[in-house]
Amino acid sequence: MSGPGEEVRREYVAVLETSLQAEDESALSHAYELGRRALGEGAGVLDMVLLHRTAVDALLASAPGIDVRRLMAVAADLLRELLSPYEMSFRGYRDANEALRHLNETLRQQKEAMEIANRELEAFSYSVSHDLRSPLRRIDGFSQILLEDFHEVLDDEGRQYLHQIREGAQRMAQLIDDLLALSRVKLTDIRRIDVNLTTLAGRIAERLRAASPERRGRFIIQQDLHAHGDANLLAVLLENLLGNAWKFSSRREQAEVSVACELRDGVPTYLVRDNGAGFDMAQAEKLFAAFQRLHSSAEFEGTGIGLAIVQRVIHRHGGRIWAEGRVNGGAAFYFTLGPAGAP
Amino acid sequence: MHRPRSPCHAWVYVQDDTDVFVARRCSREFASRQGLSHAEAEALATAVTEVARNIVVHAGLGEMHFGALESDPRRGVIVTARDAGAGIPHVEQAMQDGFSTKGGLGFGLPGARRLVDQFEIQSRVGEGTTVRLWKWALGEARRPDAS
Repeated sequence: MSGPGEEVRREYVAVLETSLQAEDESALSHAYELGRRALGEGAGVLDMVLLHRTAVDALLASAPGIDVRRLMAVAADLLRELLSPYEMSFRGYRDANEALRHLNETLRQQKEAMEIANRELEAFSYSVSHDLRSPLRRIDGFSQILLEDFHEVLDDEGRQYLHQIREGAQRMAQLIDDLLALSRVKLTDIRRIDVNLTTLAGRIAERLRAASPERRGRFIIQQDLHAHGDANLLAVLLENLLGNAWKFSSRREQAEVSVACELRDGVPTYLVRDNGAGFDMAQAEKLFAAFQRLHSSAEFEGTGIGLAIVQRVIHRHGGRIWAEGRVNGGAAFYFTLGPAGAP
Repeated sequence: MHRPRSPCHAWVYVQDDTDVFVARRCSREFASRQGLSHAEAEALATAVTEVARNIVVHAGLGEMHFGALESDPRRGVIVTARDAGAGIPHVEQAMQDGFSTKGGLGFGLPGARRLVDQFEIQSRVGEGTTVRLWKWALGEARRPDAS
């Protein structure tokens, strides 16, 4: 709140003076307009009372023989007019506040209903995935028994078919595992702590190298990388991003995967970059959708859920993720983890 | 108690600021005559000011009619404002408080609506706008006639 402008003060004294001689509607109307203007200038009710008091004092000082009773009556009428716009605006704010409160309540209820529906959906897909696993294990298991114990009974073609059945079952099991992982990201509560990303990325890199010792390539991980986030979810995040980077750079003679952090507009921005197959930027928006694959399974195996999981982890931290890439020119994934206070 | 039963009307042409004063004076006279309290009279005068101002600013020309409401045991004032302006294309929207107006919200027609007991607005594009205000004497004890 700031006081009324000098012009309003001057005009108000003049109106008071005129009204003493002959009070009429135009003076009252003028006072009303002054109140409206002062409100527009950001002056508060107390500023108005002060303005009024100053005007009355000035008049009393300048005209000693003044009719005080008359001055009081006139002054009261003018003050009433001066404050009428405030009364009107106050009612407006009261109504607006009521409307906002109502809207807020509606939003809260909707949010609650949505959360319940979401949780139910997650729980449902979790239990379905679980239930799908055991028949799948039987299919794979009995196929394996057939291959081992009835090896002599089957001919090459029969064995080939069984191998294909096992492959399909295993792929489906992988898909279910990934879906379960996706659900878990959404269902678990986030507990933010300080996480050493250098150590975490180093462990994942070691595991990836061990899984394909024949590959040549290196991981370049920035020293002393830290993040404030959920340790489990950040592990899931890096496993997926590094796993992807390592996978899509498998055709390179010398694969190179780097993990780093830089400040972008003052926000710590993490990045995972590789020199692999890359992707077409025109398709970038498909990257993070579940089951969307920019490369065929024959080219690079995978279920298309990894980046959907990554995106959920980021969103749960209140952060942002985006990617840059070029076909056969490598890919880079950038992400932020949102402010420490974010959910 | 004697109550004036004869119909009682006044018309005010509204074209400029001076007419706004006249409308305000008229509103006070009717309020006093119908026994509205000080606060009720002031609320009505404020509403009338905003409606009259609205005519001056947006339509340029209009008229306001003041009438006495006699509905035993209640008494009140009804004000009808008509203009032949461009009309309001989206009345609903016009009755929403605009945060765009400098100095906060609650002015103009939405402000007037909150100050009276009943408010009606009709508008046709190209034909103009009619606003009706009802204000009843409900509050504190009727003040003795000032005149």
